[in-house]
Amino acid sequence: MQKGIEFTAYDVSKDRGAVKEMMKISNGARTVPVISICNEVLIGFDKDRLQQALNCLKQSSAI
Amino acid sequence: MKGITFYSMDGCAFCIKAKSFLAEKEIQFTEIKVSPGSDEWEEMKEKTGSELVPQILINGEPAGGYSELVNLHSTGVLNKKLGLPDKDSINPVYDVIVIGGGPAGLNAALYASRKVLKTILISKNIGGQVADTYDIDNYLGFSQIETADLIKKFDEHVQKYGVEKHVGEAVTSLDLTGKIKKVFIGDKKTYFSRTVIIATGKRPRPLNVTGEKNLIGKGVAYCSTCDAPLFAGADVAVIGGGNSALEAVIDLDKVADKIYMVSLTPLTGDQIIINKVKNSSKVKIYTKYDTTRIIGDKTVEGIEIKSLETGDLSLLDVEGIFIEIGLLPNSDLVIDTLITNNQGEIEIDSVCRAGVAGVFACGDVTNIPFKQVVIAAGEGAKAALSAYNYLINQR
Repeated sequence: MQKGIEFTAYDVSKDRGAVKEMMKISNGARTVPVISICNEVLIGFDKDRLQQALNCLKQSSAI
Repeated sequence: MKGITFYSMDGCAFCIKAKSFLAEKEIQFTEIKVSPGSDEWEEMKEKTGSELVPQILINGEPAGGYSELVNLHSTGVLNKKLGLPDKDSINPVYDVIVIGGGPAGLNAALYASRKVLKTILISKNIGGQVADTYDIDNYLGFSQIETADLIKKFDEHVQKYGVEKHVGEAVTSLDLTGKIKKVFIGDKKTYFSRTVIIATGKRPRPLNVTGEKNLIGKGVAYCSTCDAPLFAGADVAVIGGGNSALEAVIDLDKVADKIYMVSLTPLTGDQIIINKVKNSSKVKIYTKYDTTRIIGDKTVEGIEIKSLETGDLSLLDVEGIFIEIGLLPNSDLVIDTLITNNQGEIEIDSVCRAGVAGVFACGDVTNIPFKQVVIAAGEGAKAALSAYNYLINQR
């Protein structure tokens, strides 16, 4: 939000389908947050990795 | 003449040092080699009034030798004279660096900044262990508050005084000797400070069994408040027999199908919670059982437990395992430099001094008993006031 990036949030505590979807895309992760950006799935919050993954958004919007 | 002119002589140790210093800072210079009696030597003598090497001219002005160069650089004067950006070259020296963003660290930062000390808080996160519980009912002034709201209030309060923060990365090492302490964040960043307050808190103790490490987040969990909702309709195990294990069972009782509670000892928590757990039809309790293995390839599929009385092994089919067997202090950074007790907690005196001049500790990482939010916050205040006293006595 601070960086003005739009995202869709799924509350996995309320939506059991979302848990299943999350486990599927993350190869079995049962923890939060799981963040899917472009083709990459990040498990947990790692500032550096998130920053790096966000680069693909900049690239795709530049095209 | 703009820039650095550098008079050097072969075989002069300080010339080599000064050159590598400039190279390291990526500052360009023009080198003039001299030998006694040469024209260049006479030029150096005329411009600097000295017969010692190296001699350095900055924009044509004599600036001295190696130590003067380092000094000019560290104070930022060099970059200013050369018209270079002073962004990374000047490392500000803080009065206080607080490591840790839980109640102890946040309150230490608040108190330090109210004493107008130049303060920075460095932490992986804001909230610390408090963020792992859902609500707090025993913080004075708040009869019941969600921890997310309490942390937000703490953070806003600290922000009001303009405390600098470096959040999202962990400190990797510390140099606490000397008057100026160094705090390293990998190779990326080094912070300098006159005092350091360590408020790194505690973390869940791991079981140390096969399968645990590679299945963390894939069924292995240490925080029932955070992760219980992800196990709706699942069979799970809770390891431990104390209050936090019992509370994890209660959290899971709302969502999971079946809960196995596995404890090495008879249940040791408060009777009122034990009764609640025993009354649940979903819970099956194994006391005097050791957890020997976590089974699963990509995700947790089960655990192996062993009876301490008979030695018999049993398998429990579960999708999740919550490990609630106590906490370990996050004192790894200082375990070799500060005195710790047999639990690894930093030993401090009544005013939070940790035994090295200018180093203070507070909150759950210390040997102070009763790990409570209000106590950690109070200790944080003490540590900051103690650091303030230390600093005014240094000046």
